[in-house]
Amino acid sequence: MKKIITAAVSILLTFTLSAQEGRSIYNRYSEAENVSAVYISPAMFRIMGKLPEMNLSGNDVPFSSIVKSLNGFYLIESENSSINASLKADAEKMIRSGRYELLMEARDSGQTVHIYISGDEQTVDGLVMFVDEKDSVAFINIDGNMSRAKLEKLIADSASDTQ
Amino acid sequence: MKDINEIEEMTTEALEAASKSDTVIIPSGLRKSLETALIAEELKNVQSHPKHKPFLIWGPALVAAAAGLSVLFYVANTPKDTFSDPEEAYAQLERTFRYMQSKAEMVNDITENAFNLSK
Repeated sequence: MKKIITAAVSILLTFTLSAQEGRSIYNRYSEAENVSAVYISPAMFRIMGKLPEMNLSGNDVPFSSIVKSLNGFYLIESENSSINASLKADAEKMIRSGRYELLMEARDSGQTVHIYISGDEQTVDGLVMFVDEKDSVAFINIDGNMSRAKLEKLIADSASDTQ
Repeated sequence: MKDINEIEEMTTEALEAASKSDTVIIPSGLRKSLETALIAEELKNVQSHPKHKPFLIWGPALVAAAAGLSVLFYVANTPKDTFSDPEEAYAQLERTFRYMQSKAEMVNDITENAFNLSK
């Protein structure tokens, strides 16, 4: 009985803490100097889901269908050199938790881009993008229940279409 | 009569011989007082290990407290929406996805350059 209760308490606390990944990074850095931060809540996404259908120009994926499947958005853009290293470390720690797989990685002219997703073959429940430039870093975390095919088309294929 | 130090120094054989000796006087009621002392010791051991009933009271309370703390922690750490207007939020999302597309385009450019170089 003691073991069951201890396990239940541990699971509760672990669940709570693990749900804080993007949120804890946002809370830690959003108020810092030279940092731009954006948070969109699940409630706001529900309202946005009622907006008219719109496509990103040059893309045949209905953007609003992706929006309707989202329930959390965190964006941190930092030009504060004193926190960029720790922001990068926190993002890497979040990725190493094991939930995310690398979707694409690129290095060019001192700039590094990483995009990670989590989910299964059909659905993406989390996306993290981290861009590390010389004097700035950008961290984007999107949570939801997105169609993997639509999301990959929106990000990857549409980039080649615009060339 | 021997004192305790002398008794401790006696060998096993000497102790056995002394026990068989008729000159040793066993106080009356010794057996009864020994039995009483043993029963009292046994009862003390039983009382120092009570049944686990108190755990059944504080165990679920601990789980409830952990659940309450988790909810409180979650609510306290929920940030405030950046936009109050959903159309502004939608525009921000659009900008973000365009930004992600531009970075993905970088991947395509690198790949294409590598392909051209290999020709």
